[in-house]
Amino acid sequence: MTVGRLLAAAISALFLFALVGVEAIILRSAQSHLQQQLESLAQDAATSLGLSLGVLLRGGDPALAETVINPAFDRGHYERIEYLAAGGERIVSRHLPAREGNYPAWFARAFRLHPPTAESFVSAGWQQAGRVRVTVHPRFAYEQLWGTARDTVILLVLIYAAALLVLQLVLRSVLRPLRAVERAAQAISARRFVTLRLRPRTRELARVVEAMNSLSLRVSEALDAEARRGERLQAAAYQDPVSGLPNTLGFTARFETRYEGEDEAFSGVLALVDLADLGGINREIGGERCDALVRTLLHEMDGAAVQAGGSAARWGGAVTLLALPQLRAGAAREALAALRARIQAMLVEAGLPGHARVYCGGAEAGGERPSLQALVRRAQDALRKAGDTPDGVVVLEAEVVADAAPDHRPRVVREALAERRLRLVGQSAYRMSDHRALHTEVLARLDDGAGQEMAAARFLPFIVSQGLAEELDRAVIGKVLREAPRGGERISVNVSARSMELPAFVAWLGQQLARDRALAARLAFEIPEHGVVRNVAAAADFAQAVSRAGAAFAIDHFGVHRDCLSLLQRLHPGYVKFAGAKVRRVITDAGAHYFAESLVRTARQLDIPVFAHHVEDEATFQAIASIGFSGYQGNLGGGPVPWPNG
Amino acid sequence: MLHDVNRLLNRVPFVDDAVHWREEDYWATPAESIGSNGADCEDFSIAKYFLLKELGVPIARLRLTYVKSLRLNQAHMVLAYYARPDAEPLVLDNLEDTVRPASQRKDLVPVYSFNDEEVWVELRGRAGSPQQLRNWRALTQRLDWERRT
Repeated sequence: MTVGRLLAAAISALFLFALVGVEAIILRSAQSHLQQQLESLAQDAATSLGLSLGVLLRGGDPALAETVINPAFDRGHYERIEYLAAGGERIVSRHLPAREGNYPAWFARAFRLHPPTAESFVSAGWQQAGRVRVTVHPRFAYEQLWGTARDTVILLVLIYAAALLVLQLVLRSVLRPLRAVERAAQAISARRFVTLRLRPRTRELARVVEAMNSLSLRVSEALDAEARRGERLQAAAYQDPVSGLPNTLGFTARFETRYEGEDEAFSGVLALVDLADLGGINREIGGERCDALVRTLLHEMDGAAVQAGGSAARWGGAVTLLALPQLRAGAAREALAALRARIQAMLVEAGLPGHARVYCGGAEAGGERPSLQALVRRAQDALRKAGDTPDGVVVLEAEVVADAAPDHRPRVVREALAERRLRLVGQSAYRMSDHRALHTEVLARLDDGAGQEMAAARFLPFIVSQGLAEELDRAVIGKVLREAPRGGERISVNVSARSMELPAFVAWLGQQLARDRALAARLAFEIPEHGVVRNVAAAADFAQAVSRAGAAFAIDHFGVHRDCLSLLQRLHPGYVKFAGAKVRRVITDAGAHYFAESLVRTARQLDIPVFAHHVEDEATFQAIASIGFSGYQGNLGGGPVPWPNG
Repeated sequence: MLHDVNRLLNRVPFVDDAVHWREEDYWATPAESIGSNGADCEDFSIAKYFLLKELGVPIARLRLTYVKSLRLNQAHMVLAYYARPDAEPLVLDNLEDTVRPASQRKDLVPVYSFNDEEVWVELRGRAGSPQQLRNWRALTQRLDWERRT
C-alpha cells in the first residue's frame, strides 16, 4: 500500500467519523429545536384561538366558532383542533388525517418528534365558554428536519471530496522527493551510483537524500578501491615489471584462453628471441640503464609481433616470446631476421657492439591443437640451433601439415554453413551449493557433409578468416530461437566479438528478441573478454540493446586482461565466466588464487555471479567453492549433449 | 374565606415591578411578595390563588384573569372565583378589599384567563411537559425551590 493510499484511507475514516458525529449533533439539535417550536406553536395557537373565540362567542354560536377555527386549521400545521363546551361536550372538531410527508418513514422513526397538544380556556366576558384544544401536526417539522439532514450530508461530502483532492495535491508534492529517493536506492542496489540533486523542503526527506548521496559515494569508492587492488594484483602476477609486457604466466593465460576449448586454434609461428649476453650488458652499464635498454628493445620486438597480428611477452631473463599468428614459417624467418638486425643495430648504437649477440628460434604451429608447451619446446630447440647458425635465425616448419587436404576445409565449412548443416549441443552451468542447473550454454557444431561433426575449434578459424562469423551467429541464434523449448531452463548463446561490433547485427538481434519477450527474458549472450576489451564502446551498445530486449549480457573467458575488473562496473554484465586457463591455475598458483578471490569479491559487491569454466575434477571444484564462485561448468557437471534434449 | 384572603393580602403595599424587582414584568411567589413587602396586581392575584389552593379550594374554580381596568385605563390582573363553571364569578382585586360579583365590576373588561390545569402542553407518546407561559413557568420553578428549602 502506498503512503498516499494509506493517508487517504486514514483521512476517509476520520472524515466518516466526523461526518456521522457532526450529522448526529446537527440533527439532534435541530430535532430538539423543532420540538420546542412545535410545542410553542401548539400553545400559541391555543391561546390565540381561545382569545378570539372568547371575544366573538358571546352568544355561543357553534357555526361562528367553526368559522373562527377554520382559517387556523386550514394552514395545515394542525392535526386536530377541538372546541369543547364548559361541560366537556365537543362543539367543533376538525381533524387532518395523518398523511405521508416528503420524508422516509425510517427517518421519522430515527428522529421522533412528539406532536404536542395545548389547551386554552375560552371565556365570553366573565362567563366560562369551554376550552379549545390544539394538536400540532409534525409533518412540516419532519420535512424540515429531513431537508436539513440531506443538505448537511451533501455539504459534508463535498468538503470531504475537496479535502481528498487537496490531500492528493499536497501528497504529490511531498512524495516527489521520496520517489526520487526510491529510484536512487534501486539504482544503488543495482550498483549504479547516482547522486540525487533535488533538495526536498521537508527536513526528514532532505536528510534521507543526504544520507543516500553519501552512501552512494562511499560504496562506489570502496568498489573502485577493490577493483584497483585487483588490477594491481593482476598486473603484478602477469606482467613484467621492466617492460610492461606480459610475463610467462600472463602470456600463457592469454594464449590458453584465446585458443582453448571450443574457440579458434592457434596457427602461425611462435618465436623466442634471446639477448644472449644480457648479463654482460648489465655488468657493463649497470642495472638501471640495462633495464631502460631492455624496455626499448622489447618494445621493438612487441611492435614486430603486433605487425604480424600477435603480441610479445617476456619469457624470463634474456628471452622474449613472440606470437606471430599471421605468418607461415618462411615469412616468419624473414621478419625475425629483420628484427634481429634492427636489435643488433640498436645495441651497437647504444655503444655495446661487443654484446650484440641476438638469436631467434621459431616453431610453426601445425596439426589440430598445438599446445603452448609443445610449441615453446620446439621454439627452444630452434633457438639452440640458431646459436650454431651464421645468421642466428631458425624457424622449424610444422611437422604434420599433411593432414589430409587442409585446402578444402574452408570450402567444407563454407558449404556447411550455407546449407545450414548446423547442430546444437548444450552444456549446463550448475550452482555451487546444490548442483542445480542454472543455465545451458548452447554450442554450435557443423556437419561436414560426410556425416562427421566438426567441433568449433576445427571450423572457427576458417569462419573468422573468411568473415563468416556474423552469418554463423545469425544462424545459431535463429535456430536457438526456433527450437528453444517453451518455459524451463535459461539459455546462453555465444556471440563472436566481430558480430558484436556490427550495428546491423545488433539491430537484427534486437528485432528477433522483440518477437518473443518471454523467451528473450530467458536468454543470455556471452561475448569473449578479448572482444570486449578490444571495443568496450561496442560492447556497451550491445549490452544495452540486449538488455532493452529483456535478455542478459555476459562476458566469457573473463579474468585475463589487465583491466578486466573495471569492465564489471562499466558494463555490469548479468554474469561472467572465469576463463578455464585461470581456473586450472587457481589450485597451483597462489597469485591466481588471490586474483580469483579479488574478482569474486568485486563481482559480489556488484551482484554479478561468477562462473568457473572448465571445472573438470573435484579438486578444482573444492578450490573454486572455497573462493566463493556462484557456479561452475565443465566435465565435472557433464559435457555437451545434443540440444534441445527431450 | 375569599374576603379574608383578599383583605389580608391587599395589606401588602403596591409597588410597581420596575421599581420593586427592577424588571418590566416580574411574577413573584407569595413568599417573595410578603417577604419583600411589596407586590403588583399579578403578584396579588398569584398570592391569593396559591393561598386559596393551599386552603383547599379546587383549582377548577379559580382563574387568573387578564382584565382591562377602565378606571385606571391599563392592563390589570385579578383572580376570579367560579362556584360552578356556568356561575357568575366573584372577583378578588387588589384595588378593592371587597369581593364582588363580576356583574358589579363594570370597571373591568375580562380578556383572557388561565389556571394551573390549563396552562400545559401534552406531548403524544411522552409525559406532559411543563407549562409554556414563560412567567408562569419561572414562577412555579421558584415555588418548587421554596418548597424544598
